[in-house]
Amino acid sequence: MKRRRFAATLLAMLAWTTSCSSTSEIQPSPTETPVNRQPVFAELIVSGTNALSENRLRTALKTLDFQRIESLGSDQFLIVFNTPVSPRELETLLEQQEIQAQVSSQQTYQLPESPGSRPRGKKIRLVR
Amino acid sequence: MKHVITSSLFILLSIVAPESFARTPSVPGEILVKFKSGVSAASTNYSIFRQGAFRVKRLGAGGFEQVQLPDGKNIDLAIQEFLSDPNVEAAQPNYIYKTLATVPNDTQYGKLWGLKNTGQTVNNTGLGGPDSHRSPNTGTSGLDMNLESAWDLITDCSSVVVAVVDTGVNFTQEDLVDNIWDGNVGSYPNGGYDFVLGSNAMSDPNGHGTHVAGTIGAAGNNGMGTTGVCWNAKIMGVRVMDATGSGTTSRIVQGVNFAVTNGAKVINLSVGGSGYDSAFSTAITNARTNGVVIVAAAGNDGANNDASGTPTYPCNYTQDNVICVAALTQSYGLASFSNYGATSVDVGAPGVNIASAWPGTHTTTTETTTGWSGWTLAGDWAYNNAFTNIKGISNPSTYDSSAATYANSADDIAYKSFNLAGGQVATLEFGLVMDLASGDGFSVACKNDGTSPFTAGTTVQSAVTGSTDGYIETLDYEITSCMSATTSIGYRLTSNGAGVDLGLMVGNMSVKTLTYNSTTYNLISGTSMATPHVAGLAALLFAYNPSFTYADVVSAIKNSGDTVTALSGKTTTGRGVDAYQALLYISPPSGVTAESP
Repeated sequence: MKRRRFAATLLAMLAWTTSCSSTSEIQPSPTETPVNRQPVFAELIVSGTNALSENRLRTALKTLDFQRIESLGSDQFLIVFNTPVSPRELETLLEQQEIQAQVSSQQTYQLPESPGSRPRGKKIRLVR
Repeated sequence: MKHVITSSLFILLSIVAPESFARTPSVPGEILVKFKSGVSAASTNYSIFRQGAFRVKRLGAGGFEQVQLPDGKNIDLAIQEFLSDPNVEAAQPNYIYKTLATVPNDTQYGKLWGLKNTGQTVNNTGLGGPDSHRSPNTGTSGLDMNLESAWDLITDCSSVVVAVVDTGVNFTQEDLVDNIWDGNVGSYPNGGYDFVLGSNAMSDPNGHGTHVAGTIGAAGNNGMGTTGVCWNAKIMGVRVMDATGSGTTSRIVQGVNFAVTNGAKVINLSVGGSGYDSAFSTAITNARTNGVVIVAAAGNDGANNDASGTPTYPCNYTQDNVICVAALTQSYGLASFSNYGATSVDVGAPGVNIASAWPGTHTTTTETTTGWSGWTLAGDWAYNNAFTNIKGISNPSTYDSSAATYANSADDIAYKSFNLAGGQVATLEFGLVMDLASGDGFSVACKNDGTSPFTAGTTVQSAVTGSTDGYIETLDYEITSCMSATTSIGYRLTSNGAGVDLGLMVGNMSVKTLTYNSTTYNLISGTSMATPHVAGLAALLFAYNPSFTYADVVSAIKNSGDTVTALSGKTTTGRGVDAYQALLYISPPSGVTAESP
């Protein structure tokens, strides 16, 4: 579980830095999310409930700074933002446009590790 | 009493499932009839002749008689009519039996204990992959999926598309090349789609998906390699996981939706995540709406998926088209690594020491754990052998003195050149222990000319901060784009000057290259390997019973099979899957009661 959480953290950090270039420049580490603010994401997934089209979604999102909308099939879409957005914010916007949809963030999935091939998850405490 | 129950069941089954008698082959136009004891010869003759039939012969002490029906007479109807005759005790089709146990001639079939367990020891000899067998590596004869009996009934699943939503599939592999999905006749000419690269080209830079595909549908009885649960199959490769075995919600959702849209009836999902994911769940529901069975791996953490802190998805999704699979050992114990769950994991299947197809051969370079010679170190790095579980390079050079933190405003780089020429794919794996102050960063880069990868190189991991909480975190990255005879791989620690912490250690480092070929197989373990055994069985069921719905297939798999002690209280069914019993399984009609006459 520890390893999963760390992997998820890495993914979240990558989402924060998604607009950074892929060259050797060290990118700034992510900043803490301010207290009392919903976490924001550079990528969100919209799962529509009834024949949601990309055009309708594009129109609904015109007030947001997004880079692209990618169809995932079956009324599901990935939205890549230039300015990260919280799921609640997007959900509210869609509701205002009378679009029934669920909004969720990207998660990371792993192959179940081939067990026992190397020491994994062993704890060694760095000590002062 | 017995007569009434037997007759009623025959009639009910004929009404509820009229195809049921036809599912086991029988001699056309013939049935077997048993008359009650004490019925006179004249009465038996009358009973037969009034049906327009005639006796072929008496079958000896059991009392059955072989009866030839008139031309065109429906066997099920004739049985019902005989059973309604008060002189008749029983009537049934004249079933056709073959020599028990259809045995394929594939050269590695003897290693496939999950299909036929003889108590054999399984090794990698002749497979071509690295020997990574687990102990104990011997089993109990007879504890298997009973495939040889199932194959007496059906071996061909080519009427059913099975999607392997995974790391891709190497369809040039000799045992898979003939069982590739036809891509809806040309739209996807390579048997699927790669959502990682956004390409029609299909390959498997990891190996996991090819192994899964082989268990489902490696060509059977072709005189080479392994044998799939299905001898003939239509396997759709859907690549959603990268070379290191990692994927995201959007890719997996795309992959599942693609499989459903393009006609898959079974989707193998040997992947796992720890959080409920509404987008993924929606895709599972969409699959159910389209009659698709999802077969998911329980996970390899040795954890209880029912516990609030350790669920595994998609295993834990509650849609009724999901079958979640635990891994069984060669003695039908629950594998030590296998997740379980009395309410979330459904069945067990063979998952330890499983041989199957592999996309090619690997060359692994493991960095020496003592000395780490050849590294260019800039900053406060040291070759550190101080810890039992991880030996590598550390920053700062001393951890265990009271003042050991990295320097404020540090910008420390360590890199080394590796020969990664040849092959098509390269991956980097290392263990990391890290405690960095907020705003400081650890990053990884590679480059193909042997010089510092942090100067105009390729970022493998952009700067991350934080702590691994004292645990060694094993991280994997694809570095194919840097492959050359002088590939430099480097690590960097940067401090923003605002504060410091303990630092980091990198160890257990290896670089692996993959060279594709068509003749390699491999022996590996995991719930990922148990899952395709069940996916293959789902395909067999759909092929054997074309009218079956997803619910029928799920029901047959969950409700047949033998009770496995090790799964009791650890799965919803307590059963290990049995292909033969699943094929013969008929859902009992609801509301049936037996009454005395």
